[in-house]
Amino acid sequence: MSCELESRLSAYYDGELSPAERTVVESHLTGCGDCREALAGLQETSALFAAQKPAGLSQIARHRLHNALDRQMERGLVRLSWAMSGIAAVIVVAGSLWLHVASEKSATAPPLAKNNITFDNSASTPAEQYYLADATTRTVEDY
Amino acid sequence: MQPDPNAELDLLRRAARGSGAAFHDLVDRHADRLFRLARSLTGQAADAEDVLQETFAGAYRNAATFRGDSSVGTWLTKILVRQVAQWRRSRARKRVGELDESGVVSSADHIAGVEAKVDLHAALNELSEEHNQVLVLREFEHLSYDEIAAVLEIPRGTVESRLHRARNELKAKLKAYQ
Repeated sequence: MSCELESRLSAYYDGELSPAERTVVESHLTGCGDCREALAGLQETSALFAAQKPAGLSQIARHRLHNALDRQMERGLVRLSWAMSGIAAVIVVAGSLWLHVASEKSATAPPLAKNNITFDNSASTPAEQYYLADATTRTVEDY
Repeated sequence: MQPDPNAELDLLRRAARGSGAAFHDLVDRHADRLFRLARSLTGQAADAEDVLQETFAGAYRNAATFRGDSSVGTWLTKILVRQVAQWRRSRARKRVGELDESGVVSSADHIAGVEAKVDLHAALNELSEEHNQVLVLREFEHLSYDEIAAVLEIPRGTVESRLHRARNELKAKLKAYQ
Protein backbone atom coordinates (compact mmCIF):
# COMPACT_ATOMS: atom_id res chain seq x y z
CA MET A 1 0.00 0.00 0.00
CA SER A 2 1.52 3.30 -1.06
CA CYS A 3 -1.09 5.81 0.11
CA GLU A 4 0.52 8.91 1.62
CA LEU A 5 -1.95 9.06 4.51
CA GLU A 6 -1.56 5.40 5.43
CA SER A 7 1.12 6.21 8.02
CA ARG A 8 -1.37 8.46 9.87
CA LEU A 9 -4.07 5.80 10.11
CA SER A 10 -2.75 4.36 13.38
CA ALA A 11 -2.85 7.76 15.05
CA TYR A 12 -6.32 8.37 13.59
CA TYR A 13 -7.55 5.03 14.85
CA ASP A 14 -6.09 5.70 18.31
CA GLY A 15 -7.76 9.12 18.50
CA GLU A 16 -4.40 10.87 18.66
CA LEU A 17 -4.86 13.36 15.80
CA SER A 18 -5.91 16.99 16.11
CA PRO A 19 -9.46 17.86 14.91
CA ALA A 20 -8.01 19.38 11.73
CA GLU A 21 -5.94 16.28 11.01
CA ARG A 22 -8.94 14.04 11.66
CA THR A 23 -10.96 15.95 9.11
CA VAL A 24 -8.25 15.47 6.49
CA VAL A 25 -8.03 11.72 7.14
CA GLU A 26 -11.82 11.29 7.19
CA SER A 27 -12.30 13.02 3.87
CA HIS A 28 -9.49 10.88 2.44
CA LEU A 29 -11.11 7.68 3.74
CA THR A 30 -14.29 8.33 1.78
CA GLY A 31 -12.36 8.00 -1.47
CA CYS A 32 -9.65 5.46 -0.62
CA GLY A 33 -10.57 1.79 -0.40
CA ASP A 34 -7.04 0.71 0.58
CA CYS A 35 -7.05 2.97 3.63
CA ARG A 36 -10.55 1.79 4.64
CA GLU A 37 -9.27 -1.77 4.45
CA ALA A 38 -6.17 -0.89 6.48
CA LEU A 39 -8.38 0.76 9.12
CA ALA A 40 -10.51 -2.39 9.34
CA GLY A 41 -7.26 -4.35 9.82
CA LEU A 42 -6.37 -2.16 12.80
CA GLN A 43 -9.76 -2.89 14.36
CA GLU A 44 -9.26 -6.63 13.86
CA THR A 45 -5.86 -6.52 15.52
CA SER A 46 -7.27 -4.62 18.51
CA ALA A 47 -10.04 -7.21 18.82
CA LEU A 48 -7.36 -9.90 18.93
CA PHE A 49 -5.59 -8.09 21.77
CA ALA A 50 -8.85 -7.59 23.65
CA ALA A 51 -9.65 -11.30 23.37
CA GLN A 52 -6.22 -12.38 24.61
CA LYS A 53 -5.67 -9.96 27.46
CA PRO A 54 -3.45 -11.83 29.92
CA ALA A 55 -4.85 -12.89 33.26
CA GLY A 56 -3.98 -10.85 36.33
CA LEU A 57 -1.82 -11.92 39.24
CA SER A 58 -3.25 -14.89 41.13
CA GLN A 59 -3.65 -14.74 44.90
CA ILE A 60 -0.85 -17.26 45.34
CA ALA A 61 1.48 -15.28 43.09
CA ARG A 62 0.55 -12.08 44.93
CA HIS A 63 1.38 -13.71 48.26
CA ARG A 64 4.67 -14.97 46.81
CA LEU A 65 5.49 -11.47 45.59
CA HIS A 66 4.87 -9.86 48.99
CA ASN A 67 6.97 -12.51 50.75
CA ALA A 68 9.84 -12.09 48.29
CA LEU A 69 9.75 -8.32 48.72
CA ASP A 70 9.73 -8.69 52.51
CA ARG A 71 12.86 -10.83 52.29
CA GLN A 72 14.53 -8.28 50.02
CA MET A 73 13.65 -5.43 52.38
CA GLU A 74 15.03 -7.40 55.35
CA ARG A 75 18.23 -8.13 53.45
CA GLY A 76 18.46 -4.43 52.65
CA LEU A 77 18.11 -3.57 56.33
CA VAL A 78 20.73 -6.14 57.32
CA ARG A 79 23.10 -4.75 54.69
CA LEU A 80 22.44 -1.24 55.99
CA SER A 81 23.16 -2.28 59.60
CA TRP A 82 26.36 -4.00 58.46
CA ALA A 83 27.39 -0.88 56.60
CA MET A 84 26.68 1.29 59.68
CA SER A 85 28.64 -1.13 61.92
CA GLY A 86 31.51 -1.03 59.44
CA ILE A 87 31.56 2.76 59.39
CA ALA A 88 31.46 2.87 63.21
CA ALA A 89 34.35 0.37 63.42
CA VAL A 90 36.44 2.42 60.99
CA ILE A 91 35.82 5.56 63.05
CA VAL A 92 36.83 3.81 66.30
CA VAL A 93 40.01 2.33 64.77
CA ALA A 94 40.97 5.62 63.10
CA GLY A 95 40.37 7.50 66.38
CA SER A 96 42.47 5.03 68.37
CA LEU A 97 45.31 5.24 65.86
CA TRP A 98 45.22 9.01 65.94
CA LEU A 99 45.34 9.08 69.74
CA HIS A 100 48.20 6.56 69.73
CA VAL A 101 50.25 8.55 67.20
CA ALA A 102 49.54 11.81 69.00
CA SER A 103 50.66 10.43 72.38
CA GLU A 104 53.86 8.98 70.83
CA LYS A 105 54.66 12.32 69.23
CA SER A 106 54.31 14.16 72.52
CA ALA A 107 56.60 11.58 74.28
CA THR A 108 59.43 11.99 71.74
CA ALA A 109 59.19 15.78 71.29
CA PRO A 110 62.36 17.89 72.18
CA PRO A 111 62.40 19.81 75.53
CA LEU A 112 60.50 23.04 75.53
CA ALA A 113 62.34 25.96 73.96
CA LYS A 114 62.23 28.03 77.19
CA ASN A 115 65.39 26.22 78.37
CA ASN A 116 67.28 27.40 75.35
CA ILE A 117 66.15 30.99 75.42
CA THR A 118 68.58 33.53 76.89
CA PHE A 119 67.77 37.14 77.40
CA ASP A 120 70.44 39.69 76.70
CA ASN A 121 70.08 42.35 79.37
CA SER A 122 73.35 44.02 78.62
CA ALA A 123 73.02 47.57 77.43
CA SER A 124 75.70 49.11 75.33
CA THR A 125 74.32 52.61 74.64
CA PRO A 126 73.09 55.23 77.13
CA ALA A 127 69.61 55.01 75.67
CA GLU A 128 69.51 51.26 76.15
CA GLN A 129 70.81 51.68 79.67
CA TYR A 130 67.99 54.14 80.34
CA TYR A 131 65.25 51.87 79.03
CA LEU A 132 66.63 48.80 80.74
CA ALA A 133 66.81 50.56 84.08
CA ASP A 134 64.19 49.44 86.59
CA ALA A 135 61.01 51.13 85.55
CA THR A 136 59.70 51.14 89.09
CA THR A 137 62.31 53.67 90.06
CA ARG A 138 61.02 56.19 87.55
CA THR A 139 58.29 58.73 87.99
CA VAL A 140 55.82 59.92 85.40
CA GLU A 141 57.94 62.96 84.85
CA ASP A 142 60.88 60.78 83.83
CA TYR A 143 58.90 59.85 80.68
CA MET B 1 -11.21 3.61 39.53
CA GLN B 2 -8.42 6.01 38.69
CA PRO B 3 -5.51 5.98 41.15
CA ASP B 4 -5.12 9.03 43.37
CA PRO B 5 -1.70 10.49 42.40
CA ASN B 6 -1.27 12.32 45.72
CA ALA B 7 -2.13 9.26 47.80
CA GLU B 8 0.33 7.16 45.79
CA LEU B 9 3.04 9.80 46.10
CA ASP B 10 2.47 9.83 49.85
CA LEU B 11 2.78 6.03 49.96
CA LEU B 12 6.03 6.16 48.02
CA ARG B 13 7.47 8.88 50.30
CA ARG B 14 6.57 6.81 53.36
CA ALA B 15 8.12 3.73 51.75
CA ALA B 16 11.29 5.76 51.12
CA ARG B 17 11.41 6.49 54.86
CA GLY B 18 11.25 2.76 55.56
CA SER B 19 7.52 2.02 55.88
CA GLY B 20 7.03 -1.55 54.71
CA ALA B 21 3.25 -1.23 55.09
CA ALA B 22 3.13 1.78 52.74
CA PHE B 23 5.25 -0.06 50.21
CA HIS B 24 3.06 -3.18 50.30
CA ASP B 25 0.01 -0.97 49.81
CA LEU B 26 1.63 0.50 46.71
CA VAL B 27 2.50 -3.00 45.49
CA ASP B 28 -1.11 -4.08 45.86
CA ARG B 29 -2.34 -1.09 43.87
CA HIS B 30 -0.10 -1.81 40.87
CA ALA B 31 0.75 -5.52 41.00
CA ASP B 32 -2.11 -6.71 38.81
CA ARG B 33 -1.66 -4.11 36.07
CA LEU B 34 2.12 -4.49 36.01
CA PHE B 35 1.90 -8.27 36.00
CA ARG B 36 -0.34 -8.19 32.91
CA LEU B 37 2.11 -5.85 31.24
CA ALA B 38 5.08 -8.05 32.18
CA ARG B 39 3.19 -11.13 30.97
CA SER B 40 2.52 -9.44 27.63
CA LEU B 41 6.11 -8.28 27.24
CA THR B 42 7.80 -11.51 28.29
CA GLY B 43 5.22 -14.02 27.07
CA GLN B 44 5.64 -16.21 30.14
CA ALA B 45 3.87 -16.03 33.50
CA ALA B 46 6.91 -17.26 35.45
CA ASP B 47 9.21 -14.73 33.79
CA ALA B 48 6.60 -12.04 34.34
CA GLU B 49 6.61 -12.82 38.07
CA ASP B 50 10.40 -12.53 38.23
CA VAL B 51 10.36 -9.26 36.33
CA LEU B 52 7.56 -7.94 38.55
CA GLN B 53 9.52 -8.76 41.69
CA GLU B 54 12.65 -7.06 40.34
CA THR B 55 10.55 -4.05 39.37
CA PHE B 56 9.17 -3.56 42.87
CA ALA B 57 12.54 -4.29 44.48
CA GLY B 58 14.09 -1.64 42.24
CA ALA B 59 11.29 0.79 43.07
CA TYR B 60 11.86 0.26 46.81
CA ARG B 61 15.61 0.81 46.47
CA ASN B 62 15.09 3.99 44.44
CA ALA B 63 11.99 5.36 46.18
CA ALA B 64 13.98 8.20 47.72
CA THR B 65 15.17 9.36 44.30
CA PHE B 66 11.68 9.70 42.77
CA ARG B 67 11.43 13.32 41.59
CA GLY B 68 7.73 13.36 40.80
CA ASP B 69 8.16 14.28 37.12
CA SER B 70 5.52 11.68 36.26
CA SER B 71 2.89 9.75 38.19
CA VAL B 72 4.02 6.88 40.43
CA GLY B 73 2.23 4.51 38.03
CA THR B 74 4.18 5.79 35.01
CA TRP B 75 7.42 5.61 37.01
CA LEU B 76 6.73 1.98 37.94
CA THR B 77 5.85 1.17 34.32
CA LYS B 78 9.13 2.70 33.21
CA ILE B 79 11.07 0.54 35.70
CA LEU B 80 9.21 -2.56 34.53
CA VAL B 81 9.95 -1.87 30.84
CA ARG B 82 13.65 -1.50 31.72
CA GLN B 83 13.57 -4.75 33.70
CA VAL B 84 12.00 -6.55 30.75
CA ALA B 85 14.73 -5.15 28.47
CA GLN B 86 17.33 -6.51 30.88
CA TRP B 87 15.52 -9.85 31.01
CA ARG B 88 15.52 -10.02 27.21
CA ARG B 89 19.25 -9.33 27.04
CA SER B 90 20.10 -11.99 29.61
CA ARG B 91 17.78 -14.47 27.86
CA ALA B 92 19.47 -13.74 24.52
CA ARG B 93 22.91 -14.33 26.07
CA LYS B 94 21.68 -17.58 27.57
CA ARG B 95 20.29 -18.73 24.21
CA VAL B 96 23.58 -17.95 22.47
CA GLY B 97 25.30 -20.04 25.15
CA GLU B 98 22.89 -22.94 24.58
CA LEU B 99 23.46 -22.79 20.82
CA ASP B 100 27.22 -22.68 21.30
CA GLU B 101 27.09 -25.80 23.43
CA SER B 102 24.76 -27.94 21.32
CA GLY B 103 25.06 -26.40 17.87
CA VAL B 104 21.29 -26.76 17.34
CA VAL B 105 18.23 -24.83 18.41
CA SER B 106 16.73 -26.28 21.61
CA SER B 107 13.49 -28.22 21.49
CA ALA B 108 11.90 -25.48 23.63
CA ASP B 109 12.43 -23.05 20.74
CA HIS B 110 10.81 -25.51 18.35
CA ILE B 111 7.79 -25.91 20.62
CA ALA B 112 7.53 -22.13 20.96
CA GLY B 113 7.50 -21.87 17.18
CA VAL B 114 4.59 -24.29 16.87
CA GLU B 115 2.54 -22.55 19.56
CA ALA B 116 3.16 -19.18 17.92
CA LYS B 117 0.77 -20.13 15.14
CA VAL B 118 -2.13 -19.78 17.51
CA ASP B 119 -0.79 -17.41 20.11
CA LEU B 120 -0.77 -13.65 19.77
CA HIS B 121 1.68 -13.44 22.66
CA ALA B 122 4.19 -15.61 20.86
CA ALA B 123 3.79 -13.46 17.73
CA LEU B 124 4.40 -10.39 19.86
CA ASN B 125 7.57 -11.92 21.22
CA GLU B 126 8.86 -12.42 17.70
CA LEU B 127 8.73 -8.69 17.13
CA SER B 128 11.67 -6.48 17.90
CA GLU B 129 11.77 -5.21 21.47
CA GLU B 130 10.81 -1.69 20.34
CA HIS B 131 7.74 -2.89 18.43
CA ASN B 132 6.71 -5.28 21.17
CA GLN B 133 6.84 -2.54 23.83
CA VAL B 134 4.89 0.06 21.91
CA LEU B 135 2.14 -2.38 20.85
CA VAL B 136 1.65 -3.81 24.32
CA LEU B 137 1.56 -0.38 25.94
CA ARG B 138 -1.06 0.78 23.45
CA GLU B 139 -3.23 -2.28 22.89
CA PHE B 140 -3.17 -3.88 26.34
CA GLU B 141 -2.49 -0.89 28.58
CA HIS B 142 -4.38 1.65 26.45
CA LEU B 143 -1.78 4.30 27.23
CA SER B 144 -1.98 7.54 25.26
CA TYR B 145 0.87 8.46 22.91
CA ASP B 146 2.11 11.00 25.46
CA GLU B 147 2.14 8.37 28.21
CA ILE B 148 3.97 5.89 25.98
CA ALA B 149 6.49 8.62 25.12
CA ALA B 150 7.05 9.23 28.85
CA VAL B 151 7.49 5.53 29.66
CA LEU B 152 9.84 4.79 26.77
CA GLU B 153 11.54 8.20 26.93
CA ILE B 154 11.12 8.85 23.22
CA PRO B 155 9.44 11.73 21.30
CA ARG B 156 5.70 11.55 20.67
CA GLY B 157 6.25 11.50 16.90
CA THR B 158 8.46 8.43 17.29
CA VAL B 159 5.64 6.68 19.18
CA GLU B 160 3.32 7.27 16.24
CA SER B 161 5.73 6.06 13.56
CA ARG B 162 6.94 3.11 15.65
CA LEU B 163 3.40 2.01 16.41
CA HIS B 164 2.50 2.20 12.73
CA ARG B 165 5.47 0.00 11.75
CA ALA B 166 4.83 -2.38 14.67
CA ARG B 167 1.22 -2.94 13.62
CA ASN B 168 2.27 -3.64 10.06
CA GLU B 169 4.90 -6.11 11.23
CA LEU B 170 2.48 -7.89 13.56
CA LYS B 171 -0.12 -8.08 10.81
CA ALA B 172 2.42 -9.68 8.48
CA LYS B 173 3.43 -12.22 11.11
CA LEU B 174 -0.14 -13.17 11.95
CA LYS B 175 -0.89 -13.56 8.24
CA ALA B 176 2.13 -15.83 7.86
CA TYR B 177 0.81 -18.12 10.62
CA GLN B 178 -2.57 -18.62 8.92
